[in-house]
Amino acid sequence: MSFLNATLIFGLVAAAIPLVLHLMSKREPKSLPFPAVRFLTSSYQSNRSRLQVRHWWLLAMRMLAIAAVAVTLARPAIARNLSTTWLSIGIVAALATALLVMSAITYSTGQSKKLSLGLLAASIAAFVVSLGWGGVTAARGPTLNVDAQAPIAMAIIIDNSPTSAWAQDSQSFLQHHKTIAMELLSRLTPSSRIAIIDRSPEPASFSIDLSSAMAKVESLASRDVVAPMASRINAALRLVRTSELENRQVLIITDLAESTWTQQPESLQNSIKGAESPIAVTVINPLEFRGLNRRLDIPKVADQTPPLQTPTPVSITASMDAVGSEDMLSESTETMEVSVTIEMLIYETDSSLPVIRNGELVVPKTESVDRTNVRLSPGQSSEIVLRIPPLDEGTHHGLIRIVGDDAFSTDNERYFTVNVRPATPLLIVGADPEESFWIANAAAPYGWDSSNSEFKIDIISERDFLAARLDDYAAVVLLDPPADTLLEPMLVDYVKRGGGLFVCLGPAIKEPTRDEPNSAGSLLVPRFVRSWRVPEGTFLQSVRSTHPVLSPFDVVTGGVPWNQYLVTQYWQLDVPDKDAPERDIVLMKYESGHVALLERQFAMANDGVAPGRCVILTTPLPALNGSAGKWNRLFGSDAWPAVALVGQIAGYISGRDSAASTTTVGKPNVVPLNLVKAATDNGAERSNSRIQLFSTNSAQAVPIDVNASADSVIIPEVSHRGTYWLRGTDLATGFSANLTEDAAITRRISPSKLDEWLGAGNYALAETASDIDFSRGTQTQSVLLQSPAMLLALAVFLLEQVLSNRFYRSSLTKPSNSTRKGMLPA
Amino acid sequence: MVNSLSPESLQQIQRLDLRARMVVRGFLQGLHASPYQGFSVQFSEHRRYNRGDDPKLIDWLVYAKTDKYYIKRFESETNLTGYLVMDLSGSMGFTHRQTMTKFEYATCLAASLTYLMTMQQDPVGLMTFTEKLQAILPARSRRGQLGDVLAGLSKLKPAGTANIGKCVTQIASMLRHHSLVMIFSDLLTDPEDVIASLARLRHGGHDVILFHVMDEAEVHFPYTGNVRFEDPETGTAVSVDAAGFRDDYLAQVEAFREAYRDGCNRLRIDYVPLDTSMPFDTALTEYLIQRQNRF
Repeated sequence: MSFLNATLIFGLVAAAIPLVLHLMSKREPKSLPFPAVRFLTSSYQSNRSRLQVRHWWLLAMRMLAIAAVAVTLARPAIARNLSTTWLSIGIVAALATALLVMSAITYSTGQSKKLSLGLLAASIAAFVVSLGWGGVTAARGPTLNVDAQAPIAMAIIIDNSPTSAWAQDSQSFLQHHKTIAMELLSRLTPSSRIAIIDRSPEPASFSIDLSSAMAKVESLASRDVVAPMASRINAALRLVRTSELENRQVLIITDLAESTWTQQPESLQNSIKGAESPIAVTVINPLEFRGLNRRLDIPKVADQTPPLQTPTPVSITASMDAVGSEDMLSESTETMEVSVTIEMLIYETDSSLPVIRNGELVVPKTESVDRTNVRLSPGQSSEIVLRIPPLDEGTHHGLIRIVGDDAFSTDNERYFTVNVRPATPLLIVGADPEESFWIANAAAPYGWDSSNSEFKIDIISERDFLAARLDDYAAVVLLDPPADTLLEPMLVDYVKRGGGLFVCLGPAIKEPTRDEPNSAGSLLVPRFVRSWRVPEGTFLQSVRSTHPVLSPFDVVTGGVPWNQYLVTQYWQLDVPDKDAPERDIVLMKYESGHVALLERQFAMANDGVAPGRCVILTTPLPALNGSAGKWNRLFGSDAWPAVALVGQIAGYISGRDSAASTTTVGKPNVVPLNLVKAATDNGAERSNSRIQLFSTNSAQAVPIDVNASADSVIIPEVSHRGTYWLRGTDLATGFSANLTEDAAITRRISPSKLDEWLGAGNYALAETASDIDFSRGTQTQSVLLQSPAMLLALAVFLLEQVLSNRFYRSSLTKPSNSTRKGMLPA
Repeated sequence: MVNSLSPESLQQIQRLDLRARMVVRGFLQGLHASPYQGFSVQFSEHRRYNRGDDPKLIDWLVYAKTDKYYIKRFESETNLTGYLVMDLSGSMGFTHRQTMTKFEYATCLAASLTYLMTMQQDPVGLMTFTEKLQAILPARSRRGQLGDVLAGLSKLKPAGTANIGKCVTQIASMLRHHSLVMIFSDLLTDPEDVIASLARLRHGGHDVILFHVMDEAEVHFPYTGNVRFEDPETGTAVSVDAAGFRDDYLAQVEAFREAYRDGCNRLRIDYVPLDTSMPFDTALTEYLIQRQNRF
């Protein structure tokens, strides 16, 4: 047993006051003459003993009342695991009291003295037993640290995930979380060890003191990139366990959003229980999501590297959710239809911006370029197509936003970046000019010969290949080349120096024989094994859908119907081991398992020049005429997959894909620099230079030193959504970053989910800071006995009142009329 | 309004004869409105002689004056000899409120009764007792008797102890004629002795009214706290917590009075429990009822 206010237990001394008063007030009685003394003497003995007993009881009650008040004020507490023992002790004490009462009754009513003494002896014995037992239990029991002023090792995890930006009643959830954290901190003693842990991946550590912890809470802001909640809880548990303090607490202030609490960790429950001592975990969830939320998904830009002066469509999904439990939302909310305006803004091109001016970021102005209205009702979504206007060459940033505010503004804005580039020179080499036209049209769907085309395509025949100046082209497409062409040193050298190459193998390659087993096996193409005929036909299967060439197919609803475009003949290639200097990445396979589409990557040359990309298809394209026509039907009727595949490959080998210009937060991003170099440098050597990274979320520019020969820069982590500008000498590029759609799911998880995470009974759930019982963290959980002690004090006080009133009730009652009536005749 | 018959108001009148007169006059005035209207102890009338009346009853003096026959009724027909027996023990001198002792109350009552009786030509005598029967004023109905009794009463001072039983027995043996014995005492002694002696008195053919006079404090016990009570007669002292003893005390007093009431009922003695806060008319009423019952 312990006391929260141990000093107040000295109030027990006050219990002696009635005793002292009793002794002091025992003065000589006033003497009065009274003739009727004989009426007093007759019952003097029995009355006197009864009165004495009453006196003693009254005195005991008064002392007990004061003692009970003193104990109540001292706020006693017992160890929870010993509560049964204390209950038993209480029962023995109650039995002793009952025996004492019986003894007093028998004594005062003048019954057998033996019985009275026997009961008294039994009562004393019971009191001694209860006192002894209580003493032993208190001495042997664990020391309770229930002192509110005792230091606590506490880790407060503040959930500042994107959903914490949800604003309700003019305050964001994060502000609520911070208020609660500050309130909790204000309750702690300066000697407590406090760790403020947010969702950042920073290592968890104790703050130096209370004020630094408060400062850290103050500085917290909603994060777009968050570490998993489980790892933060684990870090907090590990940190708190290192403390030598006995009272250990982990408090999690969270909005219980689904996006935070979805992935269930494995070992969290065991970590909480711990091998030796459990840690008190409290989940504080102050508010529930409530209201209407309009939302935009990540935009899909049809072409992130559009040609000059060509409008580019952007599709985006707008939706609306009614968030909150059903009783919070009125029926009208669930059925109402809201008009939502969606606007596209483009940052103006200004070579002098962005810049940090007077400590503030100055970004180019935005211009609204497209706008549309949709009507949405809760639970509904609508896909909208907006159009990026024709733009000049260069990197252009833009954003799509919902006009107006709602509870959760984070998902109201989405960002995109497009790189408008001049037409890329592309050479198509093929035996059949018609087939070459087909491929040219597939590569440049806007018309390969127009000024707005992505590609400036030259078509030559096989014969003229050796005369062509390959360096004039960004990439070369070889349609059904003979094996000799693939061995051409000029071509190999071209690829090694950075030129792109797409080879469609076909009947022009001779079947290898025993004499020439390694036919055409070269640096550019793996060794041919044989050509396979599949009369019933096989088809292409994607094996690496994340590859830039294939990634657009990944989002096609229902998948790409490759099985409708049969391949009846193809070349089997001998893909070398992984140890070879050339690394082959299989992108597509046939049903038989043979390679269909392959990217061959080359090692970096000694002079630091990056080699070009080389993609090989083992069946010819478009395979319309001649002997090649029997090989496949990829360019059959409605041949959109093959056309799209050619377009993707053309873009990939010529470096027009730039998939990284619009990315999601939390990932490293590679920004290519060579594109700008080609446009601005005019062949002059660039020296080492410094470029600066500006972001809409930061008032500071991040300097990055770039090697002159580097063709790209890696941004290690994109931590905020928004637009990023990269500025340097003759350099103006950048990218956009969006929040992933599953990073901010504003739905509250059910309590059972928390049980799965933390284990039922391992944690307490609270809504406000005052709900939290700091004593839970002590090794032995305590039970406060303040209320029972208060009840006892009240009961004793009432008994004392009853007893004293009986004792001293008004003696001046009027004489009854019976006496007088008795004297009158009837 | 102060009751003119209350002991408090009468206490202001020092002269006993005036007091007695006040009591009786006030009482008689009150009787006109009382249920005992028409009753009179002093009545005589002249009535025309009718046939059948005893010629011995004719008042010849009236005949001589008026030449008509009148008869005179009830003249000197009743003659009740009353004795006032006063307890003169020390306990009778007790008063709690320091206004009127039990003895003064009893004296006042006795004086009133004397006045009343002498108005009816009844002879009244006075006896006092402590351990022994003391002063004795023989019962007479002469004119000066009232003054003698009142003078005797006003001279008395309570002191010492009393032996009621013995003295009452003595009175029983002393009285020859049938008399009305009115005993004024606090009766603080063993009821059995007193009742036994009263039985002897009754046996002698006397009528008895027992005025049991107690102090207001003795009846209601208004004490609180730790008090040491001393008996002025015996010197017995008891220290008690008064409030705690009150219930027991009152029960004892009630039992004590009940014992006397029972005993008196058996003996057909009128028992009148009084305390010093009660008005005197109660006592007088009791006396008159006694008179009515006799005739």
